[in-house]
Amino acid sequence: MSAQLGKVLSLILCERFGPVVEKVGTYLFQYGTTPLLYIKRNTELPLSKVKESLCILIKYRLVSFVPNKNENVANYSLDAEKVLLMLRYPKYINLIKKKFGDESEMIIEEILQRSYWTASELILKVHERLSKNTENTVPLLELKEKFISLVTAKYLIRLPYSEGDKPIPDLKINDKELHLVPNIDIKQLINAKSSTVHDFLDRNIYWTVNFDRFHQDMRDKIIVTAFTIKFDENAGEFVKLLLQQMYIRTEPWADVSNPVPILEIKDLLKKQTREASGGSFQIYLKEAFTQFAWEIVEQCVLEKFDSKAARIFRLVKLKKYIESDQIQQLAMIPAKEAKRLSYQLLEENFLKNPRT
Amino acid sequence: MSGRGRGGRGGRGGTAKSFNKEQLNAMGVTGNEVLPGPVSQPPALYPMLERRPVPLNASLELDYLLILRQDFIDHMQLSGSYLNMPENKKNQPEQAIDKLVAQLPSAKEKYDWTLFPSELRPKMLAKRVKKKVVKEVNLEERLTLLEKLEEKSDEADMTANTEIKVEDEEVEEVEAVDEDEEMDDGTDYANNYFDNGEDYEDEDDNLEDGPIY
Repeated sequence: MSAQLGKVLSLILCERFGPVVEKVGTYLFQYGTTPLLYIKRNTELPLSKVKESLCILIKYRLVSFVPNKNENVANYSLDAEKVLLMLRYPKYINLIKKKFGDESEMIIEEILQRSYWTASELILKVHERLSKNTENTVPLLELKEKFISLVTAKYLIRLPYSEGDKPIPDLKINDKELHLVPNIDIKQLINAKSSTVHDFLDRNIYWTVNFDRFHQDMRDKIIVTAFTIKFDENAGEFVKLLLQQMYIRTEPWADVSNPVPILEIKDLLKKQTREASGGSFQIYLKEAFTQFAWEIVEQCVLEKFDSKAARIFRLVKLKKYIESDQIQQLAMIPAKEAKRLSYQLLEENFLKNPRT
Repeated sequence: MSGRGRGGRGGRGGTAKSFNKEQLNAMGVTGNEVLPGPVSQPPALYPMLERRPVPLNASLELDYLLILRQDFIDHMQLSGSYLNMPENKKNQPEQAIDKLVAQLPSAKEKYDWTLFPSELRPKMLAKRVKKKVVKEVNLEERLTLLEKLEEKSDEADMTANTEIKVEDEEVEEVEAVDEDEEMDDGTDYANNYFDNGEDYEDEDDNLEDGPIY
């Protein structure tokens, strides 16, 4: 798995950052946390190139660093998850396009391309791009509103910054500042358009994409569509409302939501048939996904083999441990065929023999 | 030679029976089992596909996602974040162009260095910025000093004193620059002490040419 992961990572890096960065990234993936000089020695690249690649990787938040014992030197490590997320960038952009429209899409796209940027420069750039493409220009004020709505909806967060002047900066941010709406001076932006001097109020305040928020949206969408497919559209709609209400009193990534009163959902549906006994519902978020995963696995077995193999697979899942004789009896499949199928399943690692 | 003939091509299908029936039975070859006929075709280039993957459903959304992906990759490859392998020394002219391109402000990424470890800062940057600042200060102050000298020759002693002060500052700034360079090096592991021995031979040559009597 790890070797495969390494190959994928190096392909992703090579496509986006070129062979030099790819070499440094792959080295960091293979050897974990290492200081600069080790990377230089073992990649056999010139020091300036190694430095530049590390800068790029840090800029795109794919590499993180912590100070070594010697405080002037840092240890670098590659964040493999973040590299994989680069494959999802189109999905993030598309999600915003659907939810907030084209201008917001462009904001997210620009930020993803640069990893982080100041609000003022970002708005100016998007304004410039929009005025190039279309005849009717979008006013800067409207773009500012769009940006702020992305911040308040937590799709954008502030980048951690460093305080003090250490050789290895200690990047921190407190939770309040993450979603604090920035001070953007429209007058300054208009002035900046005509002049070449750029000096904005928010010079050192960078904004970046909050991947977690996107994943939350994607998860909700998966749950809703799964319910719609499995039951019907009403069920999908109901779960959607349930999820919407859930966020009022539950942490987004909790395994199980806190109870949501049915009355609230009825209120939402504007149905006047109020019953005395309301009751409340919980969403088992984690359980729902475990269920989805099982269904996908069963579907895989069904597609790869046949319905009989799927039957054996479900039987083993149900019983957890089962003797091969029992499989033949309970699945009602002739002995020879059952043996052949369970052997095939075993060989392709769909089943496991606990004794070996 | 004779041994080779038996064990090689003719050995297996030959007339002489090498095993009797009991031995064949023990190995699992029974009498009434038909032997496979001669293989007249070459084996397939690839093993047979047992199961075909599910076809991708093309949709407008998928196309749009693909376009977004390609846009992003194109942007990255044109940006300063895309590094190519350092060129070989044989391609000198190309390298010179690369160096020129690299000096353009747009071709290099600009970083906010407060967010990066200081050891990653390129040395060139630190030097250039500081030297420029020093020079500008000198020019302005010198000019004003000269003006003052012209205007007020009476107060010559006073200006001379200030001049000395200015020079002192200059020295301090130069020292600061030096310190920075050392910081960039970090430890002296970065220095290359490796001697490939070429210089040694050069010296030898010089000796041979040697002193002229």
